[in-house]
Amino acid sequence: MSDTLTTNAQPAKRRRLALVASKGSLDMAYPPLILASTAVSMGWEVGVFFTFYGLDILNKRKLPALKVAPIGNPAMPAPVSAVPVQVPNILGVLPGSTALATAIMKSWFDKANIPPVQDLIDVTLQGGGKLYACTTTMGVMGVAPEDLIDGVDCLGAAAFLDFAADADVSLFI
Amino acid sequence: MSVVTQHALSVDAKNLLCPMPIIKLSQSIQLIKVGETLELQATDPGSEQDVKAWARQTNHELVTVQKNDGVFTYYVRRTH
Repeated sequence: MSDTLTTNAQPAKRRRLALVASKGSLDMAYPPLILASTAVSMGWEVGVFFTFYGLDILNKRKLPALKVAPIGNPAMPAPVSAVPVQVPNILGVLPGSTALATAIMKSWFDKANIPPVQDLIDVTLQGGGKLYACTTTMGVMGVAPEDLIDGVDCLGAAAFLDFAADADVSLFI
Repeated sequence: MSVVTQHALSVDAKNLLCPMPIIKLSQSIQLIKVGETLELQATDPGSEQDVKAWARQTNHELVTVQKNDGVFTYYVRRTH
C-alpha cells in the first residue's frame, strides 16, 4: 500500500469501502471480491467482513472447493447455451448436480477469462485491503484462525462497525 | 491524429472483463515514471466508463481514448 507521501496528489482523505460478505457459494464469492479488488486499484481503503457462510471464502480448505447449487436457483442458465433447455429445478436434488453445476460455472469463468477467487483475494491484500473473519462465525462453525488463509484478521461486529462508520460506501452482499 | 505518439508502456487487457482491466491499469501505472504515459488496450465495453472513473478517483490523467473495431485504446499519464 502506498503511503501518504507517494499519494500526495490524492484527496486528503482516502475513500473507504466497507463490505459484508455473507454468502459462501462460488457465484457469490465474486461480487464482494470484484468490488474489493477494484476499490484497492482505485486507491481506496477496503475492509471486507466475512460472516456466516461467507467465512468459507477465507477457509483454506473450502476456498478451492466453493460450489454453486442449481436447486432453488431459478436463475441458473441452461448448462449448454447452444441448447436453451432449462433443467427442471427439482432435478437439482439428484446426486452430482451441484458438482456438475459447479464444473459448468467454472468453465464459463474460464472461457470469459475471469480469474479464480484466490487471485482477487491476492490483489485485494496486496493493495492493502483488509479481509476480516467474523469471530462469532468462527465460534459457531468451529473455525480456528489456523484454518484461514494468510493475511486475514479476526474481528468482531463492534470493531467492523468502527471501521465501517467512516466508510464512503458500505454494502451487504 | 493522435495526441500521444509516445508511451512508456503498453498493457494488453483485451478479452478481459471487469475488474481485470482496472487491476492491470492500477498495477501498470506504478511501473512508469511520473509524467510518463502508458497505453492500455481493452475490449470490455464497460472499460470506457471504468477507466474514466479510475482516473477520476486516482487523479491520474486519461489523456485520450480511441475506439477501433471493438478495441478501446486508452492513454493514461501518471501524475503522481
